[in-house]
Amino acid sequence: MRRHRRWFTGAVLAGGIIVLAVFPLNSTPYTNYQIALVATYAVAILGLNLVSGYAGQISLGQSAFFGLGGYCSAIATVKAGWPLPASFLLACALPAAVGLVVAIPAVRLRGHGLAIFTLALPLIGVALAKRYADLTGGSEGLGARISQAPAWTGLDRDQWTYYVVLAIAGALFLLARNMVTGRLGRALSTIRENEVVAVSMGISPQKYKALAFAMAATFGGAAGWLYVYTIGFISPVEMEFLLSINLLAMMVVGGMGSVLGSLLGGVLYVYIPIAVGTVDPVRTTLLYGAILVLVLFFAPGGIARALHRAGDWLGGARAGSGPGPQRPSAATTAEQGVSPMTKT
Amino acid sequence: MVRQRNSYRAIVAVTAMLGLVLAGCGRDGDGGPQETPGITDTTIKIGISVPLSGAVSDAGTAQLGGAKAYYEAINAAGGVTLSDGKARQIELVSYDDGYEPGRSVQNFRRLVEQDGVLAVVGGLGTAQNAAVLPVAKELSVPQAYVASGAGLFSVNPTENPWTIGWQPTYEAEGEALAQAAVALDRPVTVAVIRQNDDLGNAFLNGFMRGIEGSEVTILDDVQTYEAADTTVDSQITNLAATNADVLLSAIAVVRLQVNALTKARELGWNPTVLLPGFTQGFSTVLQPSGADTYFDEIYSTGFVKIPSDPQWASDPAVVDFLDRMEQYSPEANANLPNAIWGYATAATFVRALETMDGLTRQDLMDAVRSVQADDIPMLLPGVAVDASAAGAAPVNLTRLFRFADGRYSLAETG
Repeated sequence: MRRHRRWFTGAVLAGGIIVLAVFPLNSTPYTNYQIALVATYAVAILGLNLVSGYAGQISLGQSAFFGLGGYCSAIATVKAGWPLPASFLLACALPAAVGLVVAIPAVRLRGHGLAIFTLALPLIGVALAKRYADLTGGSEGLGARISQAPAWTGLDRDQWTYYVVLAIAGALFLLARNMVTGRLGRALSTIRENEVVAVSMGISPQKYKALAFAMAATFGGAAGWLYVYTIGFISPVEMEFLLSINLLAMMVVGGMGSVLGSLLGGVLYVYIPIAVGTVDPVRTTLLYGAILVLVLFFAPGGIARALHRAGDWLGGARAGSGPGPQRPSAATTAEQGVSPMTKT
Repeated sequence: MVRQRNSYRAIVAVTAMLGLVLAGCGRDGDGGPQETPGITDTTIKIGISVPLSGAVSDAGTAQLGGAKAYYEAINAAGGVTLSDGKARQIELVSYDDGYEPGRSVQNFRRLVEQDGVLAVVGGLGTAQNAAVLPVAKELSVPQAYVASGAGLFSVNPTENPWTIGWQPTYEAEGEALAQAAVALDRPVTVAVIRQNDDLGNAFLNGFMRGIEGSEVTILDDVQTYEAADTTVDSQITNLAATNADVLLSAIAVVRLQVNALTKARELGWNPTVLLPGFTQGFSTVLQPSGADTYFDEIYSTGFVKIPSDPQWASDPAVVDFLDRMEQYSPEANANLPNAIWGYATAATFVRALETMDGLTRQDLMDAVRSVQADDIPMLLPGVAVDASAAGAAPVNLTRLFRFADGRYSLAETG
């Protein structure tokens, strides 16, 4: 049964990859860039999920890291003439360093101290980006058309952008999945469920929270790089607080503490405004709120968790073995996961 | 072992297949369009991207509403006649960008690819349109008459052949405001507070250009603020201590401007006050701060007729504007400057359509860049459109207003 499922998942994944690989060849540039944007925002939400979904800390500063990563890529390539891979590393490393510096004092605060602390980041980021106009282009922003398809591929710019962004986003998703299913994920969910238990097991909440925050910043920075690669532009607007809030909302709707949920969050972030826009764009904000409330009401774990449940239920029905297998709660996962560590 | 080899084979097969598909790719070219996109024998399709949701949706809705009101009025009167003698109806496709540059870029692509518009006209926002600018160049699609006070859209037509701004730049506004200080015609000192960014800088640069060669001097100690600041009390206290003759209060945030003028009044400082267009409002700034009755001299600038101003109550252009806004765009606030900009921008664009030599996008862009008119509706007397002036915005003159008896009126200077 279990092996059956794994095979099924593998087949779905492989099929998905093939579809994604062939898709851009026949679609319009608009659609290709749109999907690249979905992947971009999904990476930003994935980072947020590490610190909020897995470690249980609310961060309101993700847009600052997103913008910082974007500025890193634009400034490094356009102003300093760096090669693209180097700019990508910078767009990950600098936000990570800033994230760590901010996190070390912030995680000492109890309760929602981190949320209050991170509130300041977009405010500072926007002001700095506007003030140092020589470097950042100020309010007019900085254009950086860094994506260019190599001649041997025969691809158009939008197709190349699509492949690069999806490949990087895919790698980052794989990385995150491996992290959260491993030691880090177990430690984080233990901290989220009960800090006292975590401490008694030798897990330092402060250390792991700081680590999660730095990882979130890294993913945020990487998303900023992907954004500049897709859109070719960065400005203080992309750093604004509202983006942080929207990312947070889409993470909750997609699924907290879920890798799949982050992907769904990216899809929703890009396509909700378009869907609403066909009816009445003025109601976009209202609809965001309504969706958030509905999801919290009917599917508290987000759409990803609801899909898992539906899958389990279907799987159970197909096997004809009465009720489907119980999905372990976060707490039991944590216990199972941590128990080997306690033995040592 | 066998299983492993099998899965290895599968991976190789899939990769090879993907490679083949990729190699045979490369989208077919369009083969060169025979007709200009967006133009049929009876219609002209154009696009616009504005914020219809989010924090600045009021401004975006007004901008779109103004444009829609003008185009619909033209359509009702029979449409626009192009150089081939055929009258065409204007079809306006609009998308919401939520004031996000990324969405502005995507909207531009969508308008061009999916809707097949002839041009994108009158989009709102500096960063939003700066992001679109290189895409317009890449796709060779006109990005005409951008609603932004930043200089970059008009300053370099050779570098950005498919983009042009419309309204006066912040520099031009600062320069116009300098006339008020110069007109005092005696040695005066100016105390300055400005926003601590490139926009505040542009405004001050324009002002400095305006006072060149006059007896006006700016105090060295220029105070600054951040848009997110909660108060400018200490900056105003510092400036008041200089007892300068003129206060250039280049504050772009309404609540901070109220704060600044209130503080100056409380300190008993009564300089000649110069206000930027963003924060000149009577009911939003002057009344709440008590500035309307306290200061002897208040000046500001503008380039359009304010519909609520009694002096324009029977002006035919203003009457038409208010009627059409009510008829075609009741959802938009006709009193926001954006509605007037959108309306007058649309009027400028219709002039460009009428003067096109042929029917291609290049013909359109040439026409867009050569409009010269002194009768665009809603522009103040003496304010003309001249899109042919290289390196300057098409509307490049702002008039000086003096505040007296509860309203602004055109100042006699300049």
